[in-house]
Amino acid sequence: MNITREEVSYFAELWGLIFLVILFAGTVTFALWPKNKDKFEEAARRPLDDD
Amino acid sequence: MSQTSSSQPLPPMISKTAQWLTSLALALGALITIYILAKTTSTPFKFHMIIMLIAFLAGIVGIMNMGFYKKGQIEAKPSASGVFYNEGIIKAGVIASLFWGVAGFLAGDTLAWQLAFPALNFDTAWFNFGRLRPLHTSAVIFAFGGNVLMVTSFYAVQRTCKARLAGEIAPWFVFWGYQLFIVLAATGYLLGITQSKEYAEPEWYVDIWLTIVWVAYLFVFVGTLWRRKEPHIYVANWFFLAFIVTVAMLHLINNLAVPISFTHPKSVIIFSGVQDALIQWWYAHNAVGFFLTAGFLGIMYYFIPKRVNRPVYSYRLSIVHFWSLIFLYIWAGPHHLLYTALPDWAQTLGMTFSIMLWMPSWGGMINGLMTLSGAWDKLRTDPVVKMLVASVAFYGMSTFEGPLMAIKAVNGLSHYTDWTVGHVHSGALGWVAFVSFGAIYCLVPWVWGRKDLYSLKLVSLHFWIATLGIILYITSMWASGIMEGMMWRAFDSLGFLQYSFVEIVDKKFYLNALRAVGGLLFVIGSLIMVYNVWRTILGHGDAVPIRYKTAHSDDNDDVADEDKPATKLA
Repeated sequence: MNITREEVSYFAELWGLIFLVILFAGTVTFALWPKNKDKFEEAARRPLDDD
Repeated sequence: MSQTSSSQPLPPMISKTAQWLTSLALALGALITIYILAKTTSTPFKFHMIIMLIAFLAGIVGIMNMGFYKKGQIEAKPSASGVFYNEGIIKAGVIASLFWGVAGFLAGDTLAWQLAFPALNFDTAWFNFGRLRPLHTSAVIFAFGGNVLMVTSFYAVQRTCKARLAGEIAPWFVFWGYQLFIVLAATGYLLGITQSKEYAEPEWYVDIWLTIVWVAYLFVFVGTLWRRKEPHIYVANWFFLAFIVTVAMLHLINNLAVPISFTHPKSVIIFSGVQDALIQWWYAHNAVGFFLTAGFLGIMYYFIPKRVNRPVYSYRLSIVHFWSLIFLYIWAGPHHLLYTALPDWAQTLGMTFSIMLWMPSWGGMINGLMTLSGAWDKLRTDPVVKMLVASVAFYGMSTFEGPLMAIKAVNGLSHYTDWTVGHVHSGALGWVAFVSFGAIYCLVPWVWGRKDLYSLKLVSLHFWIATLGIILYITSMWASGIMEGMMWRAFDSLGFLQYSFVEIVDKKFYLNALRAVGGLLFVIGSLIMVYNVWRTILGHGDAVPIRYKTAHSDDNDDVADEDKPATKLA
């Protein structure tokens, strides 16, 4: 199996880029989603719970 | 105090079936070791089989002894909200971490002195640099770092899930199984057993044993997450879980090897040439990324908020930090193979992803540091916080330096020189060890029930001695590495290399000696810590024993045996 540099760079530049951009957009959306706000604020205090 | 007396949880029990099944499995393991012992012609292999046999038999006794005479009950104190946290495993983990830490630091400093004064290997094969070096790296990364990660993950996952650690035998199997792995790895190196893969030196049978232990670790961790009370899993646990899962994957793939015989320790890796090199550095770099970074970030996200009593600065940032870190790190391995037979596009890929790692690394660092917002005074008053904050600062510094060194032009100068060694140690001593020390200083009073550490002044002393040691270490390695790189590439007017190799080695003498002094300071710091922890456990000084008011304190007399004041303090 011979993979040329062009094939790899095409794959990486197109699909790699799409994959990582979608992933990042998804993560940021999840982090900023208004419905998650209270959940995250509660979670940020989780270690402070004295038990 | 959510639990009322009517719905008090029952103390943990041991299952007879689990005891018998685990013992049976260990007995089977013992039979295999006896078989190999009878058949093998390799003396080091025999030695290892004897160690394994003894460990398995001791394991059976230990497991059968659990809950014996107590009708299967496991000794445990309920917390204020009535959860029977498994604290015995935390105590064991703290002690093991300290033990392996000091052993690993000592081995490292011995090597540093050997590099300045080669005669210090005493002309024996056993203490030869080539054998002692993997012992040092494995002892500090896997023995010290691994024990710290296990103990902190076991502590944090229980507290953030408000649940007892899953299983009674399993956590102890993970703990002792991992110690057995360390002993086999370390003794194997000195006896000359190695598959010659950096940071993955143990041979096939030790790899198989580690796989079993690691899967048990995964089950204990996930099983505890399963018992959690709140639906959302706290971010520190994400980091710990990513660490456990990814290390399992890396370990399995990088160690795909065929033993030359089941009665011989030697095996052959199934990959060869540049493929083998790429798999190896994909493994090794992600051991840095997931073992030494993701796992220890889990410590940062639990212990810093807890110690300074402030919520995580930005929980949203921690989510972005997590996902971008783990999805970028996995691609950065090829930067270890710049200017090699690895195809150029793969080298560029590794370099590019390394540079992109600046973003999540610094996002995480900012999140850790800013968690001190409103509590910056603690940096002045609490030396444990000083240690934790310095660790995050070193994390920022070494994750800035790393991508810089992954740039091809810089790497052309830095690769194979002492600069790399300095970089590794600014991460390993400054970040990994300091955040571990901070976590241990937190854990000891918490789990042994002491008001504070024996002496915060000694923590401060440890902090300054160790910091000075690290600074000597990394500055001498910068100077030595850059000098070495420049001398290697210098040509004379006729196009010949200007310096012979030995001239360069000679030039490095003073810097190597200075590095060894830095290392010595670091070792001294760790000994101060051991002393401080020891006195804290004994309940001396400021480590006044406290008696927790617990949900069960009335009906459980053997609750607080070790809470008894060791001194006259009441």
